[in-house]
Amino acid sequence: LQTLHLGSCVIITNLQKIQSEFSEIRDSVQANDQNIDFRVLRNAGSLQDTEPSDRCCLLRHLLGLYLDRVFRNYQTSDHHTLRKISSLANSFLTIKKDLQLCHTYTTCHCGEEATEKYRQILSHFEQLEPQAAAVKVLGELDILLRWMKETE
Amino acid sequence: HMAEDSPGLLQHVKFQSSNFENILTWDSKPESIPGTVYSVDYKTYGKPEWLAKAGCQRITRKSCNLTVETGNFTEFYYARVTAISSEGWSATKMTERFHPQQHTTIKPPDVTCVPKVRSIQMIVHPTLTPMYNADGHQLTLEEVFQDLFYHLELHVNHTYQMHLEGKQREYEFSDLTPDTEFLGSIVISVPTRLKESAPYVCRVKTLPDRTWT
Repeated sequence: LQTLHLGSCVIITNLQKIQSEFSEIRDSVQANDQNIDFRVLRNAGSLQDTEPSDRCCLLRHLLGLYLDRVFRNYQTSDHHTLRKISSLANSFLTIKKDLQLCHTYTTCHCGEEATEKYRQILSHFEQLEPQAAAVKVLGELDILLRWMKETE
Repeated sequence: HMAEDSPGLLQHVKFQSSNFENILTWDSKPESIPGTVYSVDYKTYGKPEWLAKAGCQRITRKSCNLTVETGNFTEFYYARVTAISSEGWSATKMTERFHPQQHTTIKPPDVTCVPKVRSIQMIVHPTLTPMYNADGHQLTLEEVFQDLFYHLELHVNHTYQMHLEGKQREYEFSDLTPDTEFLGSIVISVPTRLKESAPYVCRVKTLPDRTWT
């Protein structure tokens, strides 16, 4: 288990399990990403380079993006991939609930930095057609996991 | 004669990475097609430009060292090979997305096993990678993988082994029988990356006990 330090919001999660589940579908998902000149989760928007007090809010938004517009929109006939996506979605939902608790106890403040960084990520995301965006950002899940890992 | 695609000309374009030494390799079918030359390009995921790898343009061998060009272990890369045969056939193939920190395998550690009368000391030497940080400091595996640790075993006999584990570099197995041979085995483990090296093995004999002779 890993402890993520997101300002005064501290949560425990099993990144290793998520990493292991994603690694089973990573190569096939990334192979479907036709536009390798373009990246949505860029280093400038990373969690670890964000003010600690804003990290919780940024992560909550990112998890929401994955839950609402990536896992839901990813189309495949491959059952193994679908099972893995479902499992990843459950893991993200659990983390999001923990962040929601922090939000309830006002330790998940959305400052200017988090708002601006998420706005940029969203604008990159929306430059692509929805299905292509879902494929690309699912393929970038290892980037998000590394951002989360580096808040340990 | 326009170059046309020929699948057999080029196959299995992929990175082989060990301790962040990143080598691009490929095959052809049949094994060798005389007169075929290969050219390598590489790029960072998310950036538009492909860059030609100097030293790997119009080569006849089937490998190219891209360690320097893929030296940022947090980045994601692609490489591609273009093969052109003497009859004008051509083929271009690209690797999967390559992430050094994810894809590299870990070599066995370098260890010195020091026998004493009733113990065996094991000193693990740091493994340097071919990567440097912004200050020009050469990075070790421990600096790249924060959760790296060592797992040591001493095989006493067929049924009994002793185990030690940790992040430090010096270990000692004690309370051993003098003048006896033991087999030591040491691996590097990186749990969050689900990586483990092959073992470094040392066969070592404790010194004879001369205190009462």
